[in-house]
Amino acid sequence: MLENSSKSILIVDDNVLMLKVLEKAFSNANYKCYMAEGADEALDILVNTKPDIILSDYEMPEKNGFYLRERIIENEATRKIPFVFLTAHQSKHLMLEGLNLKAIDYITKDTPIDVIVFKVNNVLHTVEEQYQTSVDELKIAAEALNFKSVPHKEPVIENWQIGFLHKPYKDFPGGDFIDCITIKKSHTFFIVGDVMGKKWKAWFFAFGILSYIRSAIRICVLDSITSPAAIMQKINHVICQDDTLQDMLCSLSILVLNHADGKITYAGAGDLPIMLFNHQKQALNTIHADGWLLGLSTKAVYKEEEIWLQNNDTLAIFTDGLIDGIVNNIKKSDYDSFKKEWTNWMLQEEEYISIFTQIKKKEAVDDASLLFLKKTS
Amino acid sequence: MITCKISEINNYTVATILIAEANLDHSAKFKEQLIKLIDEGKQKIVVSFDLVTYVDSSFLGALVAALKHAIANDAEIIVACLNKDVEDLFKLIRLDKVFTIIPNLIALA
Repeated sequence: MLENSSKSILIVDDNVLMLKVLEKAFSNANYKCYMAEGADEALDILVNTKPDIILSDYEMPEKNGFYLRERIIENEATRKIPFVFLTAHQSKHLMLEGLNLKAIDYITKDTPIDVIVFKVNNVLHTVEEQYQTSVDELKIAAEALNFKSVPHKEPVIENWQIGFLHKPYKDFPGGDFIDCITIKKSHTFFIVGDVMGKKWKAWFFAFGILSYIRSAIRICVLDSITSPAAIMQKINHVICQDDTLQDMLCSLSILVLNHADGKITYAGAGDLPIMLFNHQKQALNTIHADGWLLGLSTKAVYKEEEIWLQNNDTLAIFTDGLIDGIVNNIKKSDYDSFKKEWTNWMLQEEEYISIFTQIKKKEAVDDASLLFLKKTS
Repeated sequence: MITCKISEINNYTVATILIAEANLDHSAKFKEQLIKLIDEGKQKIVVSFDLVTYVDSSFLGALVAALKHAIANDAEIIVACLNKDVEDLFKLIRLDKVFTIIPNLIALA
């Protein structure tokens, strides 16, 4: 039988007794239950809750189960939730009408309660299997395209320690990407970006935008330009003028490390402030760029600043997945909490690999990526 | 089911987001509602985040995409009633430079 430890169900029935019986049965089967005594109450619950499955009575006063089903499939946020009708009748006409509304199954109310639970389990199990098959096929296609959101290994640069963290949301490729390009063994470009959105759509845009960025950097370097602000300006113009990217917005940090003198030049577009830990002073400072998100306007202006690290100083450049979390069952974005956590890690001189392990264990609500740079001598 | 409730205050069209967690599930519908308002000729649109506790990047993307559509149609999108966390996020990624942010709807009356 399916393991239901993280499953949730919305049960809709105007019969309070039936509702309680079903709630008890599904709770015993480890479902988190949401209960509604009518269509409107169910729709209210669905505004802020997304159960794994909905089990709804057909016959309810005023607004019946078909009304509820129609409202649910009208809404993009709810239309894909598996829906099962529960009815007192075995009317062929009613069943056909319900199935036309893409209800996955019909269960009659005289079915023993444990069989109802079993049937719902089976529906969920089948849906999950089909979903997993589709995801697996997409992942195979993604691998065939050979686009990696993060390089398979960190570059080796004398006197520098470099680490990448990339934690996809729910194991899907997403909009975050990290890249590094070393040019003529003299400069390394570090790129951390986040295409707004989640999962596959963001990943496909990330695929396109990273190609633009790689091209822009190489073209600029050919013209002896190593300024991240100038590169950012060019990338923004291209994205703004590309009709296929009209709905795409992206945050981006570009850092250029000059191998000869250790100077880092930084420009940012809608990115989170990067964190510089000064080892000697044992203090953390944030560096704020002022550029707008890429793709917003051709009028956006990008500036750059120089960053000099002393021995054992570190830099952290990261995406918003690192500051998003769940506190008391409520999602929130909290930059300051992550800053405190990072400061403690730096004060304790934790190795970046150990920090990354700790971050990976945390529950995530979005893609999370981080680039770590440390000057070792 | 709607993502925003639409009301009018003087010359402003107020779109109050009705969800606490403004995320990918609601972003397409939200953008569609704002673009419809702009296409109907509304020129001053105020998006109220009064009920919103969390905004993800998909939803912010929808808001900014609607802003791009507004600018192209000589319309304006004002953002109102942000809670502290959401306002901090707007500032961190410079969206406060792109949107006019007002603390509440009192100024519209």
